[in-house]
Amino acid sequence: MSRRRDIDVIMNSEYVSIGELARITGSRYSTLKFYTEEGMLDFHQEDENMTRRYKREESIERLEKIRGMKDSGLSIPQIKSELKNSD
Amino acid sequence: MDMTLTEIIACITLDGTDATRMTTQKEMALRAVMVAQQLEMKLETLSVKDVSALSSFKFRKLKEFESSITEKLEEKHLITKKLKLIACDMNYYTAGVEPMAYIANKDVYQREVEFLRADMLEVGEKDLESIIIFSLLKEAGVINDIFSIREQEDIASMLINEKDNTLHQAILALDFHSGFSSFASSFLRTKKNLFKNPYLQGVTMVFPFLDRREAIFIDTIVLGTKFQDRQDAIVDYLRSKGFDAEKCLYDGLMLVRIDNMLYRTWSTTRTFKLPVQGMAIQPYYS
Repeated sequence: MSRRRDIDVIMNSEYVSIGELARITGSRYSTLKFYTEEGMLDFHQEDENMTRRYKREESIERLEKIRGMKDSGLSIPQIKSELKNSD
Repeated sequence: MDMTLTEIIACITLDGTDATRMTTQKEMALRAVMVAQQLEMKLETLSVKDVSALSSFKFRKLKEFESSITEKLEEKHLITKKLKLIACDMNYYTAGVEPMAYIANKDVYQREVEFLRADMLEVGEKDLESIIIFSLLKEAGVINDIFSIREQEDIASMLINEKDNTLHQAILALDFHSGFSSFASSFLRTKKNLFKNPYLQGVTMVFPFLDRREAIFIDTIVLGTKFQDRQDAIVDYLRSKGFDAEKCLYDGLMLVRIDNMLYRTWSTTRTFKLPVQGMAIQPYYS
């Protein structure tokens, strides 16, 4: 039986779920799902029926970068291209 | 900050409910909070037997329970008592009526709702807490505010794969209504199509007391104004009344978020002895 993890445990984990990522970054689930599907956010998934896992530190950094680019007025295709160039 | 199961259920279900009168919507919310409180005490070792042994509650205890739970939540700044949206309706404010509502902390509400949405809509094993919250929100009648009809269907198909998990099944089958609300919910179970279109033929048209949001009319007497001007005017008006209101683009529509809820608006006229120009505000269903 799987249980929710406390915030201290989440903040010390290498990997987090999409829900935990939404919780620690204050992002909406639909936004994170969109970024994931657009290839802007990397994840690991052992099997297609298993939960997607995100590297906590990398994902937070990535989301801050995307947020910064959005605030400066870039469109999603422009952000995607910027991210691709910086990778 | 980690919140308890009881606090999460209370924040989500009590949000927008009447703070002064015992409405059917608030009664259902309080019953959900009471069940959450009982489950929380046994969470570490929760079994099917514990779920089926949940006790029923007397209506007269609800008022007392409401005071105790809301005082604790107010102390922790998880909810506040604010003016109810309907107080801004032309017919109400001209009559000097100022009903109050419980409003959940915006950040807390969003964080918990988004966490739940992610856990329930993603593939993979669901957390026990998410299953409990989902079940209690469903029974409290607020599930349509959090998941669209399509999303509820997706979740239902994912939960079929968990049919061997007897604990999850027992939690999802929870039913703690009584009397009138029990009649309403059992009727709804046999009329699933009622949920398919919340506008005009939906659940809240048949049972308006199940919706914590209100459809109102605000008079904005500025002749020659466009839709955008009127929408700006009502957002400013609602802010001046202490509401956390903002325009937001959602599903391609320019909606108005008032505290934690989404509303659609349109320009209209109410005719009394003279026609009054203004804007109607109605709950938005995705």
